[in-house]
Amino acid sequence: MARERRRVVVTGLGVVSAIGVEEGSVWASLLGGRTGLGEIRGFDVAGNAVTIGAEVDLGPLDARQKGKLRRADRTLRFAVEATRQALAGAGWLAGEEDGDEERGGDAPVLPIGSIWGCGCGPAGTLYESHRRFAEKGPQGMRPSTVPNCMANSISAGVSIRFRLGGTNQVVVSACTSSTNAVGQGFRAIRDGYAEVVLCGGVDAFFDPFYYGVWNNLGVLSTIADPERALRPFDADRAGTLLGEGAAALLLESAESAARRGARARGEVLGYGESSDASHITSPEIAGQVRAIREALADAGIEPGELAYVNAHGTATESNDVTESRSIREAFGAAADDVPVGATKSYFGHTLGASGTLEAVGTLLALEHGVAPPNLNLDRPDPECDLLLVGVEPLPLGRGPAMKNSFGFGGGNGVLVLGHAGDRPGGTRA
Amino acid sequence: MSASDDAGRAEILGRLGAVIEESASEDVDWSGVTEATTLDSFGFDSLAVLDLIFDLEQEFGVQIPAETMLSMKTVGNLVTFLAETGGEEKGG
Repeated sequence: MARERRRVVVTGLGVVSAIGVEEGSVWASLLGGRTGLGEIRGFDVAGNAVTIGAEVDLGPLDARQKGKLRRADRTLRFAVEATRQALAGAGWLAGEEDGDEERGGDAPVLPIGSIWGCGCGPAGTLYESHRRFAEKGPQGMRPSTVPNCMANSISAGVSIRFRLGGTNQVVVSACTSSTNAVGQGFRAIRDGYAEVVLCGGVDAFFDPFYYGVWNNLGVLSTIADPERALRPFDADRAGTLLGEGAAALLLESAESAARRGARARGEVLGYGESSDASHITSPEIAGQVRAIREALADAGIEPGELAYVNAHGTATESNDVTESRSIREAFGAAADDVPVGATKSYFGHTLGASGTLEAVGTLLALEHGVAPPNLNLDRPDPECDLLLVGVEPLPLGRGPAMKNSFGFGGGNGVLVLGHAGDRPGGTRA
Repeated sequence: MSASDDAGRAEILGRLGAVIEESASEDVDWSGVTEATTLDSFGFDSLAVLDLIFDLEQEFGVQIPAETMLSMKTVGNLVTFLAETGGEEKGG
């Protein structure tokens, strides 16, 4: 017997990014066309052909985080801050020390799951551990190296610090990781397995090893000016650029949100996923189209009902042309009418964090009824035959939005997100 | 206690600072730490104690059984143990 499908709303947003460490500054940067890309300062980039990235300013985290957390891996620090914002915004920290980053060991366990997407795991800790091993052998390995190097140290750290007693896991699927995490949380709530799930994404990998291997992969933009270097869908694009960050969406059944009197910031209407099953790094149209169609069918909408698509949009030729053709094939003639934007030119490509970071941007775009400009889209690539958002903010019509994530490994994840007032019979506030 | 013993204990105390700051749960202001400071005040959890033992063994070239570590209450107890069992500068 089919289970009842429950509505899943978003009651909290958290964001840690190069363009802001709370949603207000992120939205101001998106609307104002301000990129977070710049010359990397966190480590010595000498020897790398490309030296640009989108780094997070640790200042706000240093001011708030104390003790052991302050010395923890950047991924955990980012994830804890994104979680704090999402839980606080959703009213789950009310009555406790608002602004404290931890609820403490004596606080009651909350009925909330913690599913995180992460492409690289705690990269800084892995790098430092391997460096110590190379230097000292086994004598360089502290006992805590084992738990600190686990990919799921991120969801575990969040669960422990905020006493989240639901599921606790990390999804690893490269650039699709956190879109998959949101999809899992959405399905769990929709189908009645959970009431509240914190779905996050995080990656922080600016270290000499990880940045170096990405350089050598040959997909990073060689344009020297950070403001012009990342150019999704532009004919003069030269590749992508990396960024670090985290974002969290607190998903909650509509009943739970109503019971608590929590304001819905948006709604997850549908989710689709697939695998290209063809090549480890080259994307494929057929797999992407399957995920897009599944998400639309899951949401019960036609492509023409979409108000906006937030593309994967990495600004590599391989991605942009393939994604454009996938959208065109899945949407048909509706592709002429649905505006498509990409926001990696702001955040950088944050890999496992990109799905949720860009989903937060998409929800803010729906909330404000405006799509952020497509930075650097000076000469749209004719191979990308879509209605692309221009270099100015674009007012959006009513309707839900689609968020695409297409990762290395061939995993595809697509979300359909709604404004809180976009339900049938609802109105945009 | 001789002056040289006092100097030795002070030297060990100084080296302890860097090790404990690495393993402690709380930020430690080492300038306020004395031999009377309790080890509990640094907020070690069970994993942090393992790291602390590991780091102390590396720094001081000693073996510290876990039960010995757990039996010590104050920084002074730890200094005494290190003074009696080793406390020499790490070789190499």
